[in-house]
Amino acid sequence: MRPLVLILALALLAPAPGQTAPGLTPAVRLAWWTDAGFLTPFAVSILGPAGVTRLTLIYDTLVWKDGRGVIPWLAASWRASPDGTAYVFTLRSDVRWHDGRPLTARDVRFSFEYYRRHPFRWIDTSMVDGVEVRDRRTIVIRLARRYAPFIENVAATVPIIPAHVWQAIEHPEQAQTLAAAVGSGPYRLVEYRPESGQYRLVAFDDYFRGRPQVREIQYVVIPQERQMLAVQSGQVDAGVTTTRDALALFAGHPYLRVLETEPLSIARLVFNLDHSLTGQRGFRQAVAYALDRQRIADTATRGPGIAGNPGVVPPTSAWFNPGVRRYPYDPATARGLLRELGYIDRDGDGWLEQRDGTRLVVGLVAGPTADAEVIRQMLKDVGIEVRVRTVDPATRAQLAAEGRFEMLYTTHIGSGGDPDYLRTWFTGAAANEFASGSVMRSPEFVRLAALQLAELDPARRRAHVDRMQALLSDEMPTLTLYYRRFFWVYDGRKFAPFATQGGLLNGIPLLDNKLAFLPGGR
Amino acid sequence: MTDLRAHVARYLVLLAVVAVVNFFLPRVLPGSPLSAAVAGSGLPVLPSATLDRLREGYDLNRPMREQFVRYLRRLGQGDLGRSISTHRPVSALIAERLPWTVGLAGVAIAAAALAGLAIGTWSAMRPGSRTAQAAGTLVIGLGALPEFLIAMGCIIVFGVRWRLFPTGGGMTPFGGGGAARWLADVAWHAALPAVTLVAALLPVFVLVSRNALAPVMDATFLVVARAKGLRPRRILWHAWRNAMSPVLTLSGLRLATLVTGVVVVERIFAYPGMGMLLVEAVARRDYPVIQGILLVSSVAVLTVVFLLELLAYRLDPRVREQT
Repeated sequence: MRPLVLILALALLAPAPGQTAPGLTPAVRLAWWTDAGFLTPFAVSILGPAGVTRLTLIYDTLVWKDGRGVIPWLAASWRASPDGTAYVFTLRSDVRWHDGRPLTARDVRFSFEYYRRHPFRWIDTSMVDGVEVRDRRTIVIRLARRYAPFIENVAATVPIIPAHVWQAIEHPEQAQTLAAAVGSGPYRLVEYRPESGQYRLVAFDDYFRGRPQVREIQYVVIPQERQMLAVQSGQVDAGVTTTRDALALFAGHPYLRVLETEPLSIARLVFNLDHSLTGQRGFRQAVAYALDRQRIADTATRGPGIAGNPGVVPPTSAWFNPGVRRYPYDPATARGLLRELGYIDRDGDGWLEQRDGTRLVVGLVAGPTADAEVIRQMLKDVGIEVRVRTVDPATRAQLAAEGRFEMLYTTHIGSGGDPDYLRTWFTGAAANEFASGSVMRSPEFVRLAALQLAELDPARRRAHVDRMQALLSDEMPTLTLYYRRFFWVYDGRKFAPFATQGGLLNGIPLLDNKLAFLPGGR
Repeated sequence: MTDLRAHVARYLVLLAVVAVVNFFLPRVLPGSPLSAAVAGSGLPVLPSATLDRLREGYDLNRPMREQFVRYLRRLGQGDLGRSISTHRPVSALIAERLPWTVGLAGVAIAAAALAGLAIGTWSAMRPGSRTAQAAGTLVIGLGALPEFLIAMGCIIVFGVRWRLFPTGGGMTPFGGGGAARWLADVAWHAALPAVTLVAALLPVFVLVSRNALAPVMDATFLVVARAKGLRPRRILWHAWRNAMSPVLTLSGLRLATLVTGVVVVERIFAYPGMGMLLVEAVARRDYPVIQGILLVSSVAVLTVVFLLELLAYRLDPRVREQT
């Protein structure tokens, strides 16, 4: 009799079909403004960070990041060899792929070897020289050279894929069936509608970190300018804006909360160092003095903004060097520098002329942004005429690649996390032709960039990075105008997102960290 | 018959020219799939090895002539190629999107044409009346409003304030139910985009039908028809047979160009049609997709124009005489 009573009691307590157990959220619907491609590491769109972020819900990495930094994930522990050219990872033993097979060291080796032939396009893994399987749970990743940010930029970023799924596939970018999207992550891809950019990810109940609290995550496409309306009308459970007015708009709202990310997005002017005008350091510094970066930041972010640091690294970063040249807003100093270069208002019309009497004109390539107009006005105040050329992002990148610009305005993410981005952006060594025009000429900068990359001692690496920032502020291949935070408005009744330290992966200010959907949260 | 064959041959030549132009048109755009990938990657620099790989994957490492020959060869086999950004067959992408646009545009054009015809006829039958003049002014005013303004107005009033209709998308995400429910859901989502399109299209239909009909209303044959005591409906039918040619032409051309012409409306409402696909493809410089869309829309325009010519030939004796 007793077992019968117990069964009846359990049956009454258990959720009815279609219901969700208490404490669990049936579904969360998130918005982005584009489709992100099919969710495998080979077919996912790299046009924006949405795709690679969604991948992290399906695939796992060796380590992961929470609100405070790097934490163990597939690897329960790891250590670097004394010379820093090898990392030994000990994997958890309880991890399974979505199809039930166990994840082993062999899968990790396969992943890195497969990425050599079919690169994961979001991150460079070319420093990995080889992967050795010691036993079922232990792998050694050998590097071709010392690479200080290996744990954060590679181990926390590269998705581990199942060997049994991919080993027979020769064209992985074309493998776009649900059977190919097998990962070990907390969610399984069960539906993708490419025509409308809709995704449905369902909880993987055998996940090694516990049963996901949010049973289903849906992604839909909502244009950026309509996301706040969509959140307010309940069409989606989270949306994003880069302006601070979201804080005031939703203050005191019964359930809509605002999550403020680190300032991981940067707005900057890139100077063409090969151009006769912008190639002059004095001119670039004059522009820095002439632009009221705080005012630009406040206007653009509609509130107290974070003015750009001439050393590029945001002031909120642990790597920020406060000792760099600051270039406070000072039009008089700007005019003095321009005068030294021979740019003088010879005819008293308010515009500066060059030595041959022609007006000082500088081109600015930009997207359709109000910032370009603000820059034009501020430089007009010191006598520089700015001719703005408004183009789309693809054209802007092409002009940058070919060096067909004088000044170029761009906004992008990536200014968080490990500071190795100073090397990739400004040396051209690990970069490409798209960074041409703003590559640092200073041999010392190039030397420091290489040193910091290979330096495993935090204090010594810090000193190198400090000096790199100082050199950037002196040479100024780029002028950081301001930093942008992402303001995520979300339904606090359904989930509790948090700001990942340094951003997701290598500096992505998105809120869908898988920890937010798991038991225990952040 | 010979005449018809020559006509078809002319269209085929035109189509061949379009196919060639289609290859070069996207490549004339500044930027490339690579620059689009770098610009949109969210990160300002991609590793150079990745870029090499992308270049190879996009066929951009091959000379232009070779790319062109490969394009023609594929086209000859009915293969529109694969999307550079999604790696999916272009034909599949178009097949997914075309029904949405044709459905939305078809309904909107039919509604605009019928309403425009009714208002235009009503106005033409009351020349000089104040109400007809007021209607004309209203219609011209409506025609002066840009589509995006009408769309935003619809979203704010019907979508956000009154919450009568969804503000975006083609259907409820992952909504279940049978065919009837699905159809109702699609219609519900198409309501605001369709209203926007109808509002944008209506003025031209009103004006064209009114202007086509007005001169005919005083024609001698209608005076005779009235004198003979024909019923008004019969008189109107005779009037319309003489005035319908421009309206038919306009409807056909609008339908053909709307394959890509609903870009603004689809963008605002995040409607999963051809317009959105074109916008995405241009932003990504996805050459095969741009080529595919242009080809499909060119074929649509040419086919519709051809059919309209046939229709005009059949319906209007004046056209037959000219031919």
